[in-house]
Amino acid sequence: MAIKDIEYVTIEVDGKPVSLRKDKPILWGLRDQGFDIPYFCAHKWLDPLGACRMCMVKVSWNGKPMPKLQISCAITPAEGMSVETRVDEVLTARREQLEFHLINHPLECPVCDKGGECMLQDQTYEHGCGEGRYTENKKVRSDRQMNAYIQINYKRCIHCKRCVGFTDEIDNSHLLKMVSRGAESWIESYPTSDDLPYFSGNVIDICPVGALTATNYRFTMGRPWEQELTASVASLDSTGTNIWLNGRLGHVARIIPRENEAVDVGMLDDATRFSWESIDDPSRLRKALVHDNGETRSVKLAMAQELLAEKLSAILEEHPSDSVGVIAGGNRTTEEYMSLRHFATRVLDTRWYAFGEDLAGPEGMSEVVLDALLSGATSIEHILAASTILTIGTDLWEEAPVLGLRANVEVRKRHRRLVNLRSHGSKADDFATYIDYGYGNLLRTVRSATNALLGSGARTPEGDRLADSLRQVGDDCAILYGSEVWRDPQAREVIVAIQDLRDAIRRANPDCAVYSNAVYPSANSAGALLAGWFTKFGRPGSGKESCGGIGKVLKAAADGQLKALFICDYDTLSRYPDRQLVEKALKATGLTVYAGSFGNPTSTHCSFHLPLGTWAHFDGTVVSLEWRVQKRRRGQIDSVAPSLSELVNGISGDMQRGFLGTTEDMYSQLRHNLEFWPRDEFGKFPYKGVLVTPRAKLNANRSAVSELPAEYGAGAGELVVIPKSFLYNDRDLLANSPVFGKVAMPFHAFMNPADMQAQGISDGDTVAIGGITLTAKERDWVRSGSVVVNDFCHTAPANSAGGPGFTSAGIKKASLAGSGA
Amino acid sequence: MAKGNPILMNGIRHECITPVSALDNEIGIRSLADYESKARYVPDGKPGGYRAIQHVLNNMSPEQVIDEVKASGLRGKGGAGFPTGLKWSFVPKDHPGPKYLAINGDEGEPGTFKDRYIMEDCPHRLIEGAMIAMHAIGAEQTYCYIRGEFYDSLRLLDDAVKECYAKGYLGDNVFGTGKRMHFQVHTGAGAYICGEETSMLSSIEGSRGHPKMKPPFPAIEGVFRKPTIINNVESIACAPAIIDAGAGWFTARGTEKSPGIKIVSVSGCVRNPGWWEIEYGTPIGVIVNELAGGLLPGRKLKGLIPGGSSCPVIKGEAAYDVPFDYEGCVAGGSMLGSAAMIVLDDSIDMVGVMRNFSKFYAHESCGKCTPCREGTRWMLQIHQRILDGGGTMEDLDLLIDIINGIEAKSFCPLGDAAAWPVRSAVERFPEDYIAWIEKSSRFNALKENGNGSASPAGSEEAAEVEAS
Repeated sequence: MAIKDIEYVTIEVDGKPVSLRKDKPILWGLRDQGFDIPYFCAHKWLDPLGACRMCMVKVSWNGKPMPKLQISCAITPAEGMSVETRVDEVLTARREQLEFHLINHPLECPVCDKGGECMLQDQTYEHGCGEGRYTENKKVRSDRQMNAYIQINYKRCIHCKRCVGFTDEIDNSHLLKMVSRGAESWIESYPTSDDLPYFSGNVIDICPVGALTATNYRFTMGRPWEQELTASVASLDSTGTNIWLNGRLGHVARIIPRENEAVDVGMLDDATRFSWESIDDPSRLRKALVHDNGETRSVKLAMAQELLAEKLSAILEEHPSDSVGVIAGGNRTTEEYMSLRHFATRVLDTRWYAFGEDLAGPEGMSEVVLDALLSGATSIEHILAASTILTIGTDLWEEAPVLGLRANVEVRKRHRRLVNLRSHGSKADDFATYIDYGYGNLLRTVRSATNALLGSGARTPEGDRLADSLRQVGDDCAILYGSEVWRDPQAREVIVAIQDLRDAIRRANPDCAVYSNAVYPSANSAGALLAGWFTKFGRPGSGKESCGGIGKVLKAAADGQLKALFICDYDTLSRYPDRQLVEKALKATGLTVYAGSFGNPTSTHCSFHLPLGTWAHFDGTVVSLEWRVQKRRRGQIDSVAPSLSELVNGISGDMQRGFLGTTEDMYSQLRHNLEFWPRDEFGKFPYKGVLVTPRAKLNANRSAVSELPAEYGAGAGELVVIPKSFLYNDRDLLANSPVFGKVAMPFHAFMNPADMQAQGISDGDTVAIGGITLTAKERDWVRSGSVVVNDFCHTAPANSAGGPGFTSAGIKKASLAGSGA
Repeated sequence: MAKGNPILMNGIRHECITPVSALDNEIGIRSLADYESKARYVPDGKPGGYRAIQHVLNNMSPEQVIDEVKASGLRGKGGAGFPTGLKWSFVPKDHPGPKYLAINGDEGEPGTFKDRYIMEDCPHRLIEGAMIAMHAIGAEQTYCYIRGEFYDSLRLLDDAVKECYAKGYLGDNVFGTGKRMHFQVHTGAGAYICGEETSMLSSIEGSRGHPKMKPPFPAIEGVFRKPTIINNVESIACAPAIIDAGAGWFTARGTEKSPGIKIVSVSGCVRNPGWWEIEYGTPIGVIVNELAGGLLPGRKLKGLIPGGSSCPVIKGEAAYDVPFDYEGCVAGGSMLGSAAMIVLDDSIDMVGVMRNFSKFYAHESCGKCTPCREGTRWMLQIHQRILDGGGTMEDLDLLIDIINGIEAKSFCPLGDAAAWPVRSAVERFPEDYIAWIEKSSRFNALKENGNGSASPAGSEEAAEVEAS
């Protein structure tokens, strides 16, 4: 079901001909064209409910008026229809309904946080009767907390039931329900202690009154009209969700969605929405830390820069090239990555630079993989319009939440198919076909499915299941692959195998378009790729090419080849799969520098910790998984937060190596280097971003491999350890937002009930897995024979549960004395 | 006297489907004890039971059944009076999946007590009717939704269904014809709104009893999103008689536009309240004075509600001349509704009655749409305030304004149901309201003059007594 042409029909509205979409209720079309029809309960995401009765209009068919007024949120336009929106009958009806809405409303606008952006306030001003005739007692019910993020104020509620509709129709959490009957009814929430909210914050936006407000915004962060809006882009995942940074006096006061119908249609995940407190958190590093002889000194950034420049100059004097390793990561802008690469190649003259979140396994990037990443990609609009969506090794709700949510909505409301191939179940599997491949056997399963579709070669039962679900994909099929692919030691082969599968689907379904998009491990991996962090990209530039992978840099460091290691915003110790290698590398390298906004295990192991601003501190572009280049704009003004460009420019200046260029310079270079880069100027970058089609001159001849690798399984008495990327990871941004302290973060060992019974473990016990200690949680979405752990937890890092690659570990109940973790 | 004789209480019973016996047979069905002693409506017990369905299964195509019911002019007995045969023909014939029949036995309308007697006294008549309807629309499953408070109806109908399953009348092989027909009794939890058809479907599905958006209409997408025909218990129970005695038997009775027979339940200030089966078109005076025994001595008719609490009140003795059919009641200023006649004599205070009605509707409003949720509560509050001695003359205009905001603007007919009786009371009996308001303003004036210890003529107790 590819994107279809929209059909329009012309009807008469207030005596004028108006052209409206045939498939949508007339309310939306008329409002878009400037007809002021008030409404509360209707919402573009939701099915029409017809509860508020505000949007009533007078409808006639071929001149014959219908006996009753009709609600415009529920009728679609058709030939012969005419609509009156301003006749007396309609205006009176609006006034009457508005009076009903207001009789139990407390009218406490002066103290309500919604004041200034409240639909009820606006519409009362526009359509209300100006005075109230209600002299009886109003209903009251005391406030309560809906979950850790949201407060319900019952008195203000007008029972539009949009929030109930959201939890029923969109995120399927059923968190909110109506209780009791009639005027005595109210909205009740049923939060369960272990279920984290993923999208609950959206009900704050869709609440037309101030009944649902954010706990960390209400009463403290000012009024809407005092705030400056900055159009920015979310930084926790690669969807490229659009946001407004609401700033007051230069400080970010909240994050709200910015509707971009091509990306997010105004939806936002809770992690991004409530992470704003971390931007101005007191624990953010404002001065530089120098670890020296077991002592930690806090010094001014300028001093630390000078000191570092001195040391780096000394190293370079002795070993002029390839003596310093540079690792970048996190969610920096493309321009910052560009300047850091210039720093690495021009100033440090090294080829030992690599991106932290690897895209091609320890072997490094190859042209075939690069071709796979670039060539199959399509836009989110096309992904969601595809008749079959296949996800491979990715839990969209955790890794690209807004995309995952939208995919689930498409599946439910527009009958698309969703096939999830993963090692464990997830919430994203409601309404989807879920195929468990058995962690460690991704390559085996994908190749086997390809063989099954092509009808030759060896096969496995999981592969057959996958192939069966792909024989009839419809008009088009979109493949999304993510974390479990990146984490696979054979990531390169897996990515190529997915391309083979793509070809096989195309062969099995002639006339079918098949796309494949990567769900990147960090918000701007795609930008780092374009900035040349994996392999040389675009027009030949100066400087050396990257050695190809973070594994190679760490190995070189561990071997003592590197004299200094410059790590930027990537918690290597916690995140890199081979923890021992990182420990060795950090120990073997004389000078270690960490630049980042917050402290973490890696930063404490480094001799320098330099402060950086967060993602909200500066302008720059980011590239999302659909290759949409978007501009992230600064919402926070802060004198003690340099950008990565400013930092490396400072160090370079102190080293007498000259100025590397401003952010604008970097942007111009990107535009010059990459012929597909948007032609817009940096200062006038479009608010909705620009979709680009990246191309590279590649020699990407791949030959399909049909043989299956050996099956991976856990050792006797052991469970396969599955590190999982959660939306609520212990990322710096989340760890430092106080509101998340009230939410139970998923730092647990999630186990299958059968395994727990076999091992004599009960829910809530502390268990030791390899080298880490966690609380066991019983979950039926975990496959028997495996244990799911959070892939990024400072206190119990998954990478110390075993060695590199796939690991399995014995699991046992830890003694109470040892359960300090 | 208009045409037609009342058929007392038994036309619905199988023995009475032929005109002769229907006129003469008089069997009082009042108590459960009585019920247990009567012969049951099963073939081996009485001649004729399940004769119609066997005839239908063996000799009639679904189209023929629908045509027969259309020809009989049977109109839905739940209140709206939609032609039943026409409704059955709306089900898409080529629908691939299952179709359902849903029988509405919620009977929540205050004043109505007709369906419960069908379910309690002649449940087999209902089951047979359901089987005919299932054959006509091609359904294999019936859901009979019974109001939560009807414990006896539930038990007795359930027993009858079990009996049918045991005898092979229901099940996977009905009467050996190989057809599947199932009948499930489903109870509500005592919500008036679940008598509205889409709310009833929500309730059967296990959701909250909130009305759903139409279109899609239930005949296209009903319970479990499958085509569903929803009929009232009484309409379904008429089907066997129509098949058995022919459409002509039905059209020979009643008026031209409202043919056939109807059960009327009479309550209120009459000597002999009860339910009777009558022909459409019988004047209300006949029903009240001859069947229900007339008013108490010395009383005069103040008002009459012909169709249950949601219909406007007809003022005065003019009501006696109104013919009891759909068109006649509308011409008389009210509606036939569910044919639940509530008789109010001159001892009744209309404000108290309306307070009770408003209380009922405010309590039963589901809370989905704003005008009904807020408006019913507001009306109740105003009535209570008038009765408590706080009424003003502006309240009458305010009540009419509130009613204007609810009427034809609420999501489902519950709002209309709440608004119509109050509108008729305010417009046709303003003197009752004005009496309360004047009484309380005299009292307030007295209070201001320093005689505050006087009580306002026992306002509260009086209202309670008069309204009950």
